[in-house]
Amino acid sequence: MKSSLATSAISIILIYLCPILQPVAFASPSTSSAAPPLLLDDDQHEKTVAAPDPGRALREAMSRLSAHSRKSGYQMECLAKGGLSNTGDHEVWMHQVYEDHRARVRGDLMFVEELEIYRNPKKGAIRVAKNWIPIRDSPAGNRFDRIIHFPSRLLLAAATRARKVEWIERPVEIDLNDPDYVDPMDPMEDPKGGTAVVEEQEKITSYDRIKVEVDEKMAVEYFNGIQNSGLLGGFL
Amino acid sequence: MNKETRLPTSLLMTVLIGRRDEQGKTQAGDAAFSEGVEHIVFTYDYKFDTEAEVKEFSLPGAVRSLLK
Repeated sequence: MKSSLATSAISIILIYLCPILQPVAFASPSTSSAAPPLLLDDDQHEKTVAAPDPGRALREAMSRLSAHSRKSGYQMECLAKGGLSNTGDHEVWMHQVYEDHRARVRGDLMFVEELEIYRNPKKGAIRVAKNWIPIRDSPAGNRFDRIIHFPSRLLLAAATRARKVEWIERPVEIDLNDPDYVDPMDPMEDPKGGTAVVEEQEKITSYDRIKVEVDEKMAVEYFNGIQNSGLLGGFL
Repeated sequence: MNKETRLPTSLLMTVLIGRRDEQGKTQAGDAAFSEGVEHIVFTYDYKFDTEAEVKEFSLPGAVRSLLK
């Protein structure tokens, strides 16, 4: 069917900062531009407030996480997965990678209890047969080191290599039992008349999710990391 | 982001890589990742728990040497 090599790729990376939500179903995330919210003053006169700068919010989030990490540390969980897709919503139909890890981060150090790994952004150590060895000398350590990244580094890359930064709306939780729910696959009624309908841009109501598009080189760098992890076995 | 602490609570990174078709061509722009076009997708879904304090690590000597 298709050639097996993924070369000369046109690629994109999207990074989201978002509250943890695990609804039953998601509508696809919107990418609308931010519209200024309306506020009412004491005299009930409408006035607009400028939307916060998403780039600045991203840099602040990066600084705050870094400061928090130095002061109190944090725990993290990362699920990295991927494979082949042939749909516009990028749903993977054939997974080649599925890695789920938990770690503790304090300052520039990360500790992974399950694999007995200590690492900083440049180097790492893994305990194998009661001996500490360089992280990349072990297949498990090499895989972890190339797949799981320091969140502070990801945020730094997002902030410094961003091509586009914007606020996005939270995914809409869909209640399939809602009597007003309309299946998107249901045929729509034909609009009467020949008037063109302009789709209205969705307004941002909560400024807590940021979408960042970064340069193509970064996508290739991360894909190379996956390839060098040994997880693909020459499949893709 | 957590609205009180302004700390990120999760981060989702999606990497999309286009593939060459049987003619050896990759479609231009976002068309390489569109409906019906086979492409490679990787997602990294990070969740952060900033509530629980993490004590400073006491590194074994061998680890300290390897991290230098």
